[in-house]
Amino acid sequence: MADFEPIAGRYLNLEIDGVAQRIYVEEAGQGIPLICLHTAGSDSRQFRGVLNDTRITNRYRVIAFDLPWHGKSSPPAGWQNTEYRLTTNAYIRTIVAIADSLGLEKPVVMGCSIGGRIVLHLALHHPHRFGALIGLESAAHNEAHYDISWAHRPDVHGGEVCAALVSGAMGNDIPEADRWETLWHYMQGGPGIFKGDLFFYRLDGDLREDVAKIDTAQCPLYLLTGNYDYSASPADTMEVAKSVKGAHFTEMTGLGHFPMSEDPPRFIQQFLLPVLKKIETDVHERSTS
Amino acid sequence: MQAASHEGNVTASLVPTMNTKHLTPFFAARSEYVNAVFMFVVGETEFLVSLQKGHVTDVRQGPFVTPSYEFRISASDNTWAELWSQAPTAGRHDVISLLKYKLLRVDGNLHTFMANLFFFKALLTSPRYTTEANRG
Repeated sequence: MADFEPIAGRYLNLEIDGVAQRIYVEEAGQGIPLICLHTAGSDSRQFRGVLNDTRITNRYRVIAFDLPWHGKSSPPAGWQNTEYRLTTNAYIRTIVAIADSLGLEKPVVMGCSIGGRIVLHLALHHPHRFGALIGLESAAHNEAHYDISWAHRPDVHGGEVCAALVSGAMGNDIPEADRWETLWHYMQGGPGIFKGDLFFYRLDGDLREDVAKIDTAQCPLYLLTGNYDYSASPADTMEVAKSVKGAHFTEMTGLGHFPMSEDPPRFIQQFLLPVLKKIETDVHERSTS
Repeated sequence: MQAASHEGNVTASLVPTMNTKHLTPFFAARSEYVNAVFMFVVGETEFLVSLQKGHVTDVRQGPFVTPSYEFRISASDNTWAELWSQAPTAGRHDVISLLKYKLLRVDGNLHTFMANLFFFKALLTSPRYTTEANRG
């Protein structure tokens, strides 16, 4: 008998900002919708552990999609005439459009890195639309520590350099198979995509001026950051937590910038399940009050 | 820190142990086209490291007069000592992480360095694995 995983992958056709997109979406489970957002330059495979964990999928409908230009979501027609750059507004509209298209009511959104940044924007601008927000490796800003132009030029292999730039941002004793699968995803990123995502991460998505305006009374905010993450360090996330009253912050010892991918069992057991349990309890209390 | 946590010039003495002999197949496969001379700096001590086809062919200690090289990598003695220790603390364990925390500087013509970043990260970390003290 074929050993299939319980994950179902399909293509969702929709328009975002008037542009036809064909978005690859993976799903597993039933219950509270949980949208998962991958890191810059990677794709939804990072959430393979979450999508396969029955402790989660028995209670949550887990949905992970590849952003346009990432993974199995091809760029839109005419892509060859544009330079890919992820913007805050486009990122928000993509998430909202997909949630609306799927008919999701008050979904929980969990995003990592650029996804961890955009959940802060969702918390600020659209708190009423979401049941809770989980920021993995969240920071209000990212200070450049290398010239991103190296990630996209014809005389340097983009996949190799992107993976090498992030390879150290993982825990010291994580499973080697998960470490190298995480890097493989980076090596497969399309040309210029990591660089285009970092336009949002470093410039357009800078939230330092407004982060304190987030109101967690409207939407709970959970922040989880690994201590091996040097891109969005625990200190960076702590700055957010200090600014946002009511935000819950946990430092994840032994994990780095890709917690859901670099060591899924440890991330889920030690850090994610307690958060999901709390969210579930809150949802239940709200529905009965 | 262990092993590589030495005083002053002792860490510099580990520079000649920087080599590619221990590299796993992944990194070894990325060494064939690496040819360069770069300057490696431990505190105030300068070295010129020569690479041919990914092999360290020469390590010369300065001081130098008008040295010629492609790029220069510098950090303090303590930074290298911790990177080369068996169990560096989080944030001090990786070359790019050291850049983030402004503990390391790379300048010059960086093309060879960036085009072969996996290789250079492995090479620059190699004393963690190649010194007698660390092997023990």
